[in-house]
Formats: sequence, C-alpha cells, structure tokens
Amino acid sequence: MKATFKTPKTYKGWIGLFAILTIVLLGSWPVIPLLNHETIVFGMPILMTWSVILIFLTTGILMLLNKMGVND
Amino acid sequence: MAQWVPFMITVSYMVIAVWLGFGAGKGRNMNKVEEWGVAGRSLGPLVMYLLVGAGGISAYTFMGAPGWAYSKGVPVLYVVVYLTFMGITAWYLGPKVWDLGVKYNHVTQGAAITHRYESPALGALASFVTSIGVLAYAVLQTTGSAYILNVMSHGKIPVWLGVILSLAVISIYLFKSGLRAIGITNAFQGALMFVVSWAFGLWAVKQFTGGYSFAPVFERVREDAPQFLTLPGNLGDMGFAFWTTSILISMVSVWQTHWIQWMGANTKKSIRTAATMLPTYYIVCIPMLVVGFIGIFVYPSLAQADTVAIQMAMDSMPVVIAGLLGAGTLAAAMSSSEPCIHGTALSYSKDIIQPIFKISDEKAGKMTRWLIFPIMGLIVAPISIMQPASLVYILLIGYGFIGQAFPALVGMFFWPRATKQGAFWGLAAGFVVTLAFSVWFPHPLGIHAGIWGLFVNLPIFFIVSLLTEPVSKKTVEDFFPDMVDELYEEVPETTTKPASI
Repeated sequence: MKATFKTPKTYKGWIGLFAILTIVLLGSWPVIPLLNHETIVFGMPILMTWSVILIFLTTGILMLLNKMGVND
Repeated sequence: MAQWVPFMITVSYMVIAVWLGFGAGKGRNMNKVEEWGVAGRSLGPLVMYLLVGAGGISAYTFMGAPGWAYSKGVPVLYVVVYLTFMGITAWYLGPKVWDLGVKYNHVTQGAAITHRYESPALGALASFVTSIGVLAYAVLQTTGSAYILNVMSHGKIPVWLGVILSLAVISIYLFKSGLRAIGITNAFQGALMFVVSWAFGLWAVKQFTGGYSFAPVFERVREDAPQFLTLPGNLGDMGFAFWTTSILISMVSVWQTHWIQWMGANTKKSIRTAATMLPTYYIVCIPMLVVGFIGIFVYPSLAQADTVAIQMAMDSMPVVIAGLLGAGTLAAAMSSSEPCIHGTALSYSKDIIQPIFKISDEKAGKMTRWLIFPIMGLIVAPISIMQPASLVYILLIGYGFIGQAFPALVGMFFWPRATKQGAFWGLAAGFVVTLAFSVWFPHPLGIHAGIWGLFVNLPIFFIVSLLTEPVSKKTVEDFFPDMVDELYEEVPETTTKPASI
C-alpha cells in the first residue's frame, strides 16, 4: 500500500486550500506584528478592528467557497 | 425589593430553559441513541448555528474575557480569532464527519476512531482520555454558574447549593430531551447572550463616556495606559509566537462535543451553512471586552480581574441590566456545560461500556441517558464544590489530550497509511510533552505547549505508522473511496535478466 496523502483533486480544491491558509496567516504571526500599534481605527484598537474584519472575511471566504462547490 | 430583581431575572431564565428543553423531546423515543444522542439527525442550519455558537461561548466570555481585557488588554483578542477559525474547522470537517456517521452509524468520535483504526481499544482510550478535558470544562462552567447564583442572590445561595441547582436544572431537560434540548436551549441561550452582551456593553460605554461610541474609551486607554493596546499586553505575556500557536492548537483541537453536534444536523448542507455563518456569532465577544477596558479606569485595583463585569453591573447598572447579565452569564455557563455532560454520557456508553460488556444497541440506548446522573453526581458536582487546587492541572491535561488527537484525525481524513500503533504512540508522546511544557516548563520560547506536543507527536505518528501493518483494504475503502485504485496500484516489477552469453 502506498503512503500517499489525500490532496485536492481539482483546481477549485487548491483555491480553497490556499484561501483557508491565507485567512489563517491573516490572523497570525506574519500579519499581526504589522498591526501591533496603538492606532485606533473605527473607534477600536487596530487589533480589535482587525479581529472583527477577520470574522466577516472568514464568513465571506467560506460563502464564496460554498458557491464554488469546494468541500461538497 | 429592587435588589432582588436581578436574582428574579436570573431564576426566570432557568425556568424558561427548563420549559423549552423539557418540551423539545416531546413525542420522541429518547431510549434510542440516535434520538437522545444526535436528535435523530434533524437539526436545521439556524439551530446548528446557535447550538455550536452558544456552545463556544462559555462563562469565560462574560467573566474571564472582560477580566483578560482588564488585566492584559488586546491579547484577549486571540479568543475572538480562534473562535472564528474554529468555524473553518467545522466547515471543513463537519460535513465529512456527518457523512461517515450516516453511512456507518457512528455517533461519537471514539466510534469513528474504532472504525478507522480497526481498534475498539483505541476508540475507548480516546473516548476516556478526551473526556477528562471535557469534564474539567464542565466543572469550570458549573463553578461559574454557582458563582453567578451566589452573587445574584446576595450570598443567600451558597456555592454548593448553586452547583446542585444548576446541575438539577440541566438534568431535567437533558434526561428528557437529549441533544434536542441542548439544541433548543442553546438557541435560546445564544440569542439571550447576544442581546445581553450588546445591551450591557453599550450601557457601560454610555455611562462611562456619555455616548455610544467605543472611541473615547480607547482614546483614554491610549493616553493613560497604551501598553493595553498592543501585544504582548499589560502583563507582557502574549508575544506573537504565543498568540499564533494558541490559535493554531485551538483550531486543530476537535472536541467530542463538536463532533456530536455536527452529527445532529439534518443534512451536510446545514452544517456547512451554519459553519459558514458561525464566525459572525462571535461578534458577541466585542462589547464584553470593551467592558473590561472600561474597568481599567473604574476599578484600578480590583483583586479578581474575572469579576470586573459582574462588579460593574452590581455597582452601577440598572437592576434589569444587572439581572440580564446574570441570566446571560448563567446561560453561557450552562450552554457550555450541558453538551459536555451529554457528550461524555454518550461516549462512555457507546465507546466504552457497550464494547466491553457487549450489550445490544437497544440496551445501550436505554442506559445512555441515565449515565448523566452518575457523571453529574459523582464527578462534576463534587469537584465543582471542592474546587481542588489541581483542577487547573486536570484541565491542562485534558486539553492536552484533545489537541494531541489531531494526528489521529489526519489519519482519518488525509492519510490512509496511518495505523493504530502510529496514532497511539504519537498521542502518548505528544501528551507527555504537552503535560511537561504546560506544568513544569511552561511554553518554552513562548510557543504553546500543545504545539510542542504536536512537534513530537506528528513525526512519531508518521514513522510508527510506516513501520507497522496498514489497516485492511475494506477500511481504506470506507474512509478513502476515491483513493483506493491509486493506493493499491500494482507497481510493475522490473526484473533484470542476466545478459546471455
């Protein structure tokens, strides 16, 4: 038996994987240090505003992936 | 009289929860595991959204999170990010888990592990060890419930009585209606928490600044205590590495309770829709965090940071708002503890007791709902009342196990070559490392102990799996039907004939 990993079989699947990895990176190390300021945006510290943006961005991306039929 | 209004509102919430939960199972045969355990797989996307959303919001959101904002500042936002990202995990894994459950009649994570690794022992072990973290979490939430009842009753309800009362309320509807009760009460609790969080947050902002904008609060923080607005925070303990690794370990920790909730959906599409919208529920956290930031100025030297929101409500809010906060916090605690008790009863019955004593599905079904009583009476209640100093270690150990089960899930969904030996030894090694780096050498290099555990767990999982016999072709077909041809493709042997002379 081969030791192959299950990977996406279609380009849509790869787009889905890439989109999810991008969201995770937007909420973690490479991006968070860039936003680590005392700046206030829309009445909240920039990290709080970014967290709210991430909430809607995640839902938006997942909606888009649903529409594309990724993970059906 | 007015001083009792918050208490009456809190008690009213409990009465409504019992009424809703008790009625949820009407006309259903709750002696069947599929009914009591997974609500006959009948929950639609809206109930799923509120079920999973409210389950993710615990007493921590109403007490601990404002406490963290009060004592540390923006580091608390990692909670919002990881809850959001857990939506991605639910979106990806939820439909797959549901499919397997319907096809092979699994209701628990342990059952799926047993099937995938052809090992009832591994399934039972996974069920038992993950229940440690799940029950420790239930204990924490029950303690939170008792604390709220104590505060709202002005000390008239002692902690021990609060523990018994909150568990008794849960037991009534949980026994009667199982996951249906959790679904309907979580829907109610979820909506209540959303309203309470915003009502309380906006009221606090209005009182502190005279308006409804958060800006003056944070401008004041920036002026007087700017360290609260950036990482590593006021206490200097949340660097970028810890932020990132705490989010990652939470994202890959799939709780037994989540698994069972996904199983309750009526279709795959319902899980996908609920998971897609799930992150939006966690907006509920934001106003409570703002309350914590306001507390920095209102209570400059509060002894217990976790009490900042309750303290503010009792000191300066109108009695109705204070009562709603009490009800909301109690809802948060109960909506998180009841799935833990339900999931543990289901898992002990199906993954441990049924295979060991070889009892029929019918008998297991009848027994499952009765198990909530020993779990509550012999484990959750006594530990909640005694509150042993070791509870935090029990919690760390339990969480450690849940995160370290991740490679076993990799073997279930991504890697057909994984074996039971690989999953077991990886889990064992990962657990030891997580425990050591949680308790004795906390989070070396600012990296979460659970991630250190996975650094050790994953290589062992892969190496041991490659060195041991894979599972049967039948099982591989069950879990990876579209890969079978590729996996068992014959490799043509290249024979070198000796050159003829």
